[in-house]
Amino acid sequence: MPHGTEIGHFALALAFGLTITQALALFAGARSSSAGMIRLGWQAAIMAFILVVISFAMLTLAFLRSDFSVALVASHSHSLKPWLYKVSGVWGNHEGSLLLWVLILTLFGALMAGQLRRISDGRSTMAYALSIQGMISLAFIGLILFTSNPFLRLTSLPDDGNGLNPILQDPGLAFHPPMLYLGYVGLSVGFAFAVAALIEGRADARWAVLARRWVLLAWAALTAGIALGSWWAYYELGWGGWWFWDPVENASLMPWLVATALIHSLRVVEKRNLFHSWTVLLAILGFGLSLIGTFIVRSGLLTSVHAFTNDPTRGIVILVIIMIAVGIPLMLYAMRAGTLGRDTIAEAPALFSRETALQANNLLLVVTTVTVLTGTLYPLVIEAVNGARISVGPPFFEASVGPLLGLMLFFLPVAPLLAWKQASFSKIWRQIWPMLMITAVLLTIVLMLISGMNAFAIATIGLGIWVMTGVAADLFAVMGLWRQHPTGAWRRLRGIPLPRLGMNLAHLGVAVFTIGVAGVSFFDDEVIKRLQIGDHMTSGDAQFTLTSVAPVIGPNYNATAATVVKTAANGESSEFISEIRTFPVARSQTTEAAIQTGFLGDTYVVFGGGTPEEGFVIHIYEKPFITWIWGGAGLMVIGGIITMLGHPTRRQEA
Amino acid sequence: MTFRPVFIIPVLVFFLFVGVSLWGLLAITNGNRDTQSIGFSMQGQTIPSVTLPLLKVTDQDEFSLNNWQGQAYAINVWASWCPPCRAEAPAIERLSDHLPVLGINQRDEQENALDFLNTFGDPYTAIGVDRDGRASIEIGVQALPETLIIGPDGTIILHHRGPIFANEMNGVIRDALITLGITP
Repeated sequence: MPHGTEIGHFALALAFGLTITQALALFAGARSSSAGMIRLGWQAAIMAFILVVISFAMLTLAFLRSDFSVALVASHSHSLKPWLYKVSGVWGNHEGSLLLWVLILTLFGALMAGQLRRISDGRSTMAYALSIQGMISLAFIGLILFTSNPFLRLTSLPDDGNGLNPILQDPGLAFHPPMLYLGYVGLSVGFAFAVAALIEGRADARWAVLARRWVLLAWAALTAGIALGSWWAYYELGWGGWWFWDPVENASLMPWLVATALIHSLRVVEKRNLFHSWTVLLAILGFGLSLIGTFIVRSGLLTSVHAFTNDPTRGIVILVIIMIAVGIPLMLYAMRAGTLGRDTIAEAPALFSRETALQANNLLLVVTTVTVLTGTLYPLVIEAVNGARISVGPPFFEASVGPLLGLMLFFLPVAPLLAWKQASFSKIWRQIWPMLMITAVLLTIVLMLISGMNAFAIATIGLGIWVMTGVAADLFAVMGLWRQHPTGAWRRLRGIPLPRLGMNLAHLGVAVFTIGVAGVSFFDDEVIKRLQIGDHMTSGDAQFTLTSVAPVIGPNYNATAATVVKTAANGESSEFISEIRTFPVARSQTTEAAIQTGFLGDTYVVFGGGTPEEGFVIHIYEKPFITWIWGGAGLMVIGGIITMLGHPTRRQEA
Repeated sequence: MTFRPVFIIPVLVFFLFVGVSLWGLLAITNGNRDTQSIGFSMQGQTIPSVTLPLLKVTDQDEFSLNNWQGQAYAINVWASWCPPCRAEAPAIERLSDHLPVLGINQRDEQENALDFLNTFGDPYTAIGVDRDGRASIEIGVQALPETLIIGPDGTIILHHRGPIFANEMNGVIRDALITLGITP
């Protein structure tokens, strides 16, 4: 299709019109309870999605066909690129990534439309929410059409494209941004529900049931997106780190923290009809922080190692969108928050209850978010005040966020054991003391196996084990082992409600993640040496021999590959090949680390270049338990999805 | 209970954020503020005079770039908390064979910095302590590690961002050394 690009452009313009219809018809329909208007609205939402799919497909086609008459393709693609990276090139740039963002936004709109079509209970809430969703889509499609159009043609055709930044040519990039956007944009649904609640002046249990599945889905996607990003940075960049506290990383962490709080507080609204105004605020902030994160990344407001585009004019447009999208709901919130729970008789929970525990969790998560936000924006504020340019490094974040998360881990395993309304201390104590004992015993074993740990390492590992015992204790409760006879325990475990299984998997994921962090933070090791071919070096109890250094030709790069053979203490040997790749088109270079991944961690060999005369530089890193970081994140994602799948679609009267 | 002042706090904080951001962006547009300039290097310009306390006690009692006027030298900005700084340590060692390398240790703890030098080697002629990162900003450093090569007249011949590996040594660094008449 030679005019595919124009079709894509036209489809997007039509989608722009349809989102106007979606926003207005649903708003009017919800106000006047007009079934016809509501139908028009959800049909528009589905049509808008289909049109954006067409638009996105046309842009992808232009990349696949290497149509260099399209400016975006010419500056971000190259005919020699493997097809997977031609496709991921679509969102490896500002304009295309916005289109991906809109694709996901309208996908959620279409999914919400599907739910609106079916439900009878809470129709007006849902219609308001979908109307808000339409307004967000409208803003972003407008942003693309008027400031960041990916469909513009060039008048003079280049012979070939500029290529994609080689660091972005990795399977990680193909999956990390779409997943992250699924999370960011998914939070827009929770946001839309929050605004709907403010318009209706009601955020009750029924509202929470409607909203919570969407938030769980977004949370799971965001978790996966962040984990993939970290995994990608670690495996691709060859720097051996998994988190750098860069503004861009913090931008994704903040909505995650708020979304985590939101999942827990929605549960309280749903179950106990409490925390209405707090929950609505979290829902607004979750998506608000996603927008602010995107704004920080795209506007060039702060300096980051993940340079995307630095365009202050575009930044101002995004800031205006944020001012409307977040400012108006927050003003509405200031006026109406007090009325949200008016139809419910709030029964104050006892101090010792699950409500209080979940509130503590919420508070800690929000304080952590504020801390991260402060650290991220602090340089900007200081510069505004006295013109000084400073930057805040990892030491600040580690020292401030670490203890907050530690405190959270300390309370985490206790909360699920507590009863709603009023927990009995003596009943809880019967479950807690075995947990404490097991933690103490396991920690002692660890202390005997590994010598020379500092207090932080011991505390972190202890907290990881402690959270695991909490999961075991809750599963014991499911099996009825605390009070019933063991017969039938297995049957009871198999009958575990999905949300409870999901919660335990997610909490287990937190424990596994914590142990991974402890392993990498406190026990990593590295050796650097200059070797001649045939020389060897040692790391831990293994010996590494450099066997060859040879040129390699890749699909669109040339490389020098170093082969290192590891001989373990038990005589087993394995081969590592690390490459330095030169990409002639983009005139840049990347290092491909050779990594051996095992259950107990990674061994990481990086070739640092060199000459036969002077020797070759070889770095060996030992990263114990680093895989547990992603394993833990994976468990959280699975737990989130299982909870979502098992979540009721309508409120069951208890 | 319909209205409580506490519910206004979020919107106030939000508009504070918007205000500061707007200032930040408008200042960039008006040319008063430049996040790009720390993105672009100061290559070709004259190195500002920077004086810092020393990391280790040596015969000089301060670290001053003025003292190096009339001589070619390199500046390497590093910290013990920066993983790529470790990775480039062997290359900096090699660079120091050709010309004096001054280290600027940025936002670091002295103990960690000394540990780093013990582990990865100390190729530096002198090391200045840039505790709050201000001196680094003055010479146009944005992120760690970065390396500058300065000519005898104080001109920044090369400003390299990111770690230096063998390929940089054989490429941009080599070119800069040749410009200075040093045979690499």
